[in-house]
Amino acid sequence: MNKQHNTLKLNASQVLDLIKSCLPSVEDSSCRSDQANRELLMELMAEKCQIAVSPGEEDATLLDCFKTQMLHYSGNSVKDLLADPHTSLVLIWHLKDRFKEQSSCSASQAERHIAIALYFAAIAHALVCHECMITQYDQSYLLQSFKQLAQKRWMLGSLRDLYLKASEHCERNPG
Amino acid sequence: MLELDHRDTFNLSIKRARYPTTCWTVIEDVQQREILKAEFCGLYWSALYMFARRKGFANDDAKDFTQGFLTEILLGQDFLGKADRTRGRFRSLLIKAFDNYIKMILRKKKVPLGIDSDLSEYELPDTVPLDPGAAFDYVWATKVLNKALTDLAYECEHDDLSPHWAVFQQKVLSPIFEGTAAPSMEELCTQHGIESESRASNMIVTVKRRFHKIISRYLSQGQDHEQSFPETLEQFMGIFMEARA
Repeated sequence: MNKQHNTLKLNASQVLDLIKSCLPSVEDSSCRSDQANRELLMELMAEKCQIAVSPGEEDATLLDCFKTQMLHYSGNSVKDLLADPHTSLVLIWHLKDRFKEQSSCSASQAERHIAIALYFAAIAHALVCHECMITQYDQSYLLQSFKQLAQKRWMLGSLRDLYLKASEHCERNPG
Repeated sequence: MLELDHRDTFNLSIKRARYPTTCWTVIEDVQQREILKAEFCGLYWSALYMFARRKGFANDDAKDFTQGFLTEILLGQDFLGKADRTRGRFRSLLIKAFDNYIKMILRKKKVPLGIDSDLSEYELPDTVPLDPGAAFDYVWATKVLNKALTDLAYECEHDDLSPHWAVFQQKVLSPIFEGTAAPSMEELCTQHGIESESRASNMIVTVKRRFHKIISRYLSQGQDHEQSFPETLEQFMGIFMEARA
């Protein structure tokens, strides 16, 4: 597994080929099939919830609470956290921030679109399971976004259900 | 496609540890500085050694200079802590400090210049420019790549992505490092029991995304100004382009 790779043994052209081959290319994200997008979504959802907390000027009580929850959920995947209606709001909020950040520094367009879908999934979870708004977007924009995402052909059933429930929540509680 | 705008600034008010945008920001933190010292020695020893060899010093002298510089200046005199971010790119500063260190030792000890053109112990491709600074950059760049690949393998193992790594290694790394023919996606699926070629393809992309994150983290270190990743990557690749036959 941990085989050492020594690039000093390669010539410069080989190293350039290596760098190009190791980075996601445009081809990796363009003309993707629904199936490929769905599988990338599954890949992102299978990633474990990892976070490093840096103590600082933030509220200590909130931080302690957060650390405790992180220990409890350590090793859980994004999919697990979104599927569990009892996942704490603070973790859902973390997921939302994580995918917002990921959408801005994604290695490909496909990854960016899927990160955005997961960002809205976290907002939907907070609305449906906690009746809590963790975004500044207004209800009408959220409603439109949830409906749009639920219609994606590559969307997973569990997320589609979540978006639809969140849509209903927005329709019941306009403005 | 749905887009995000920046209206949503309603973020969780817990700061997460982030990778530094530049090495300088890390260096200003005392605790982080200690952690970085070990990593720096690993990344820069070979590059500094090669710089000294290309300056014409014999193997033993070059090793002594490198070890002495890292021990006395970089670690002993807290070079990282004193580094002035306004003075430019870290690698340039490091080379200048090392060059000055060598001159100081030569003045103090009157060490004769041991001319030694045999670099066989530490071979660089013949096409790498003879300039000591270019040799330093080349060795440093290969060290960064080696470290990135080691980190990538570790992360994949740690995060239960061993099958992803195996597929990536066979499809991407082995053809370059070992000259083997890249297996087809169909062959990879059969060998690893992967249900579809698109799934195997996504597994490779997952590893590539991780490599992208790791390499961008390393390359963001040592920059004196905020640069976009494509710009930094272009400079990094320029080191190898210059050394291409």
